Amino acid sequence: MNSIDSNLRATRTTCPYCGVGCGVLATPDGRGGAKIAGDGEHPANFGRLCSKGSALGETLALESRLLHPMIRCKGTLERVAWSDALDHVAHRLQHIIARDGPDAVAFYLSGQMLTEDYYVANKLMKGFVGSANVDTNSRLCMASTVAGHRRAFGADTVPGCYEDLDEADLLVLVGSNAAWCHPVLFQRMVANRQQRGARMVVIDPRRTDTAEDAELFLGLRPGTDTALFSGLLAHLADTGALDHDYIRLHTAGFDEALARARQIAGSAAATALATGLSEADVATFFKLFRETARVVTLYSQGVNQSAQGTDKVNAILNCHLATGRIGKVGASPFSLTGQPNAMGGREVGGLANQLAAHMAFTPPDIDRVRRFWKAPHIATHEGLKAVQMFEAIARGEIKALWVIGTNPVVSLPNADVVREALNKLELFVVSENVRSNDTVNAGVHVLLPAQAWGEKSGTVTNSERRISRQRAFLPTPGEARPDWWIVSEVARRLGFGPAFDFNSEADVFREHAALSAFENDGARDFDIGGLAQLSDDAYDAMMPVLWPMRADDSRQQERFFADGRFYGNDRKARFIAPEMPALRGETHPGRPLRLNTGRIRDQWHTMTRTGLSQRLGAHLPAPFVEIHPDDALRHGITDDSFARVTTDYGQCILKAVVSPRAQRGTLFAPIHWSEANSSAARVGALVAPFTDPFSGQPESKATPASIAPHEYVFRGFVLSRSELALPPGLWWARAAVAGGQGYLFADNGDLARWPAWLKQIAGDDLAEYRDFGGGVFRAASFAGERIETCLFVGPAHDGGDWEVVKGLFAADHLSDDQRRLLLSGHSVEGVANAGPVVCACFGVGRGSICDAIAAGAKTAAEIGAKLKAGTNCGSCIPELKRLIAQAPAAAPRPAAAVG
Amino acid sequence: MSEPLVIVGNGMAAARLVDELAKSALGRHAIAVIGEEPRLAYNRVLLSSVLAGETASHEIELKPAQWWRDRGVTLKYGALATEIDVGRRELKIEGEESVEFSRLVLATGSTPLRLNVPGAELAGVHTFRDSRDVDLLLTLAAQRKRVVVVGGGLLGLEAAYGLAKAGATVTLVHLMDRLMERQLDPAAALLLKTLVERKSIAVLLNANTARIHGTTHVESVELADGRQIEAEAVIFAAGIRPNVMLAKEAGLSVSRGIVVDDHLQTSADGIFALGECAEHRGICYGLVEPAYQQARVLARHLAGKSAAYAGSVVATNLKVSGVAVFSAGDFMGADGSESMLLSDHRRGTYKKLVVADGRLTGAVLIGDTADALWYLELIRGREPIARIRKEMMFGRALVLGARAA
Repeated sequence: MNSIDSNLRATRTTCPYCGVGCGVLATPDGRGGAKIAGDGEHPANFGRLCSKGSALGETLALESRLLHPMIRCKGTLERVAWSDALDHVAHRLQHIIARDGPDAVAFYLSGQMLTEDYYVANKLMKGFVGSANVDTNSRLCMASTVAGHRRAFGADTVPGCYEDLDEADLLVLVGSNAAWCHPVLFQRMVANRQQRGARMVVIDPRRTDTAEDAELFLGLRPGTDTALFSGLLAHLADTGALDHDYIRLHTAGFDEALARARQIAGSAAATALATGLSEADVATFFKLFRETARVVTLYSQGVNQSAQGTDKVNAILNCHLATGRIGKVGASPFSLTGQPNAMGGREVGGLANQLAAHMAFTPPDIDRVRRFWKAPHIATHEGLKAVQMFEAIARGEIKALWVIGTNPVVSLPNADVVREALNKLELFVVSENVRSNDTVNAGVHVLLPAQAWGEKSGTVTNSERRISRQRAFLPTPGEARPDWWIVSEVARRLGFGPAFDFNSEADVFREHAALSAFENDGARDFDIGGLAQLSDDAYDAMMPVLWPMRADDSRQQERFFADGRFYGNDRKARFIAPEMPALRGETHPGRPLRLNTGRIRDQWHTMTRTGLSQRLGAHLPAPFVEIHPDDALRHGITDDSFARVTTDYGQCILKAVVSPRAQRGTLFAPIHWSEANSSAARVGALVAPFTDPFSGQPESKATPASIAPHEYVFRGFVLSRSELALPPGLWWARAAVAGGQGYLFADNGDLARWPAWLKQIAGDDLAEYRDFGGGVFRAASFAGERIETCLFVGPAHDGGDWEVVKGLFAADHLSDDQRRLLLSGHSVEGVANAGPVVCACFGVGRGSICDAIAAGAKTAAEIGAKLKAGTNCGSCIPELKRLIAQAPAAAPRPAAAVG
Repeated sequence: MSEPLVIVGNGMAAARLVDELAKSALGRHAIAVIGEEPRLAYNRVLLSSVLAGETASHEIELKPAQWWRDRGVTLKYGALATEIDVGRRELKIEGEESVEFSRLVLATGSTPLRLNVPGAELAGVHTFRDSRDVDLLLTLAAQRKRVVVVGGGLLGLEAAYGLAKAGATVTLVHLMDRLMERQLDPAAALLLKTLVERKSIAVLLNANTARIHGTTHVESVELADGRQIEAEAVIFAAGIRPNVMLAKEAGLSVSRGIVVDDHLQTSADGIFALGECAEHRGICYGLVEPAYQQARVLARHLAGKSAAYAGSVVATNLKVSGVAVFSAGDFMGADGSESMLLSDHRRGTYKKLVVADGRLTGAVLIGDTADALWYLELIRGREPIARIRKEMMFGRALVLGARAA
């Protein structure tokens, strides 16, 4: 099923991370790895890659991979043959469906699945099992956008395309840290600013790197986006900036929406009051928006992940509809999707409130799909959305769950309860790449090895509706299989063989394309009928293509809705009157803060792939909580100490980062850590399960929380060639480092336990440094002249700096001088310590950058010319600028401090 | 007219005293040095290097003959002083005329102890003390003899190393449970043993020499626990005895050594002692550095300047059997002190710093003694070390670098 080029030529594929959907050139090295480069011909990125994409070559090792099917027998997972695993799954599903009905089973899918895999899973569940209990981690990502699009446009249509980012004169980013989360697109916007002078407004409770260079940063209070855009709508109406013709001809509901907007925030002053912004800033934004015809409003999780996310989306769409700035060159609302194939999942209908191919649970749609699939038992009503699905599991109503390619025990809100719920399942199947993650470790019954990126083949759709081939360039290891094959095999065993007689991913794609065009005739936005007849060769060779791609060549289009043709019954767009903005969950003296969650620059989701890269692990290696200095003072938190964050749902212990970039009254913690790589940083366990009434998307960014200092006597780190079991009772976090694994830890145990522990790990032949009186123990073991294991423990204020040690750990040979100073944590004199990595692409450290600044570099470009830092993905440029700004005039860089 | 100052002994202490005197009071004294060894003063510490073939015999001379002449020193070597006439202020010399002195300095050094065991008088039993011994041992080594060195202190280790390097098959037997127990803690001693053994020297600890077998010549050594070691030669290197006979017979106060006060003066006015033969505040120092400190104090005193010797913080800073070894102060770590350790056995290094009351009070270094003098300075200076504690183990350069930051 895979044809691997034996000449090790570059394969064109796409990046498996965010929704930008960058083209990647992967050249296998013949030893299981590959050289990774940006595809200069791909229209999403034109050759650029971000730090994460650039490091893909470091994530291809097989150590953590699941390579054969496993079934739990008497408590332990045991290897079985594929036929046995598939028989078992089918048999158990059949039994449960027969006994409790189709709604007793559920699929929980992933925006990282390929469209073909998604299609087959959705078809099996909705068409043949007869339940719509198919949901996906996209529910956590952009479900509010889907719901908002459908309410406004009558279809889940992204009106614009990436070219609009190059052509806009004003870029408004709402709830999006694109500089970190969509770096390649952000660099396109930066290029537009530099070349065309586009202006940028960033709206976010946090001052992120995205805001660094913006003309205007609006640090509004959490949950008040709707007030801001209501105020904007009222302002546009009051200043004669509406497109009255467009409103009259192509829309409905404007008057109600405007009346509601005036109620929420009828003026700049009212908007300022509602959002916590200054009236002057609000007025500046309104004026910019009013006066700039070419405006693109980009939004992401800050809008979507909210109990009012759908209303926020519609408040934004209202302003674009009211000015007719939609689907025009350089003028459109634009949802930035977080996942590589969230869009593909939406296209096949992989969400519980969709049926298939942008068709819904309406009688005509149900009938159409039933006939196309020849599926007499097709589901006839919406299924349970993610949060509700796991609540139904907890209540014992859903008895069988099949998770494919996602890690809900980490990512879902109220994640401790989610994990507990899984214990109730009679059948718990996970299709995975990795042998171990928090979900797999939550008592899975059947583990099915799926192909990973680089092995699997199919298509993905990016944020601008562009379908690209994701191609295999590595041989499939062990017994891994494509997801579409696995699901089809189960479907056959359930007796649905004729409907799942797929021989290749191309077969699946052709059926998917055909369904999109089936009885469509322009009635539905999603139509790729032009691709339904592709030969296998043409499918293999398919170039990136924007949809729609109708069979009728004369009706192609790049953008939607400039012509006013929408997809509701009356073909009109709908203005939506949003609810009064309010966050769910009250703060009170016991929970005085609000916990915002999100991503960091160099990690992706739950780190099962990015966590394998040492370059990516270097930027922010430990889980943290960001807090404003005023709040820190009030709650006794100091920078670089530890803090316990508590909500009504759970507790985490995180490193404290005290920063004025945080808003007063809010905390921010990244979502990436899990129990696979940390002791107490699975932030999903803190998040409230409040969901949006339309989209079902949880409010992941505003959970009432408290924070308290959590003291540790000792701190330290371990560097090891392989993963280790640390002593019990520690706080720890693991990050990939060059040559192995790095653990940062904090401890309240007895210092004396460390020598004993290390001896058990590394043997007796150790180099040691002991100053027990000073609370210090450091030791290393060697294999020849190479460090094998290295441990540093010290008092909490001085646990040791691992940057130098990491550098030595990466080396194959230590000079005698390096070995002599190893346990000092200092570099050999004359060898500069590069410091923590800032530029992950080129591995350039803060120390080197500060040296360059001290030596006269005054701009990020000058640093780039000298060190290459910031010249690839550019996502560290804000940090470079910050370092330039912070640099004391001509003062030399301090030598690396031990603490 | 210069005062006649006579120094008995032409070892390292004597040479240094002359040097110091020349600096502080040139011309004040007419100096005569009466030495028993038939050569110019040499660096005794380097004898093991000569034995090991690492240094040529003539290279260890402390000062050339011209140097002595330039300072107007009358040198009599190969001359044995036999009696001090305190009353007449005369020193009698065997086979020569007596010399008069106004002031007399005894720098007579020490003699290796010979164990009082049966067979100690057999041919093939030697000591290791002076350059004549070195010549003899080199002959043994050249003949690839099997040699037992008795004594695992500094001297024994040096003899063993030199002999092994020169080609002898060497067994070192030591009474105690570790080598150099007066300078090293158990861990350091263990590392030293490993390093010494890497140089093909067999080391037996807890080895009490009971007797030496042989009819006329050494054939084997028997230990108290019954072990037998076959050997053609035995070297006693199990301690030294201060050479006090001359002083004792002159009626000077003598305990283990010649008793001196803080001006290095003996119980007789104008008669001084320094170096290994002297006992100051109950301590006989067996190392060169206290002797040098004493020489400095004595020279100042003789020059009429105020100076007093308050005792030395003993430091050993040597290559022992080719291994750099440093030991100073409270190296064992008394009650109430804390120890910091840095060890890398594979690299052959061990460092221990003892801290009490926020000050460095002792140190042991094996293999890496680059910072020995700095530690010694810290110990002697009693400087608080809180600010440098984190880095001090890794050396002065690092501390200075970290401070400069």
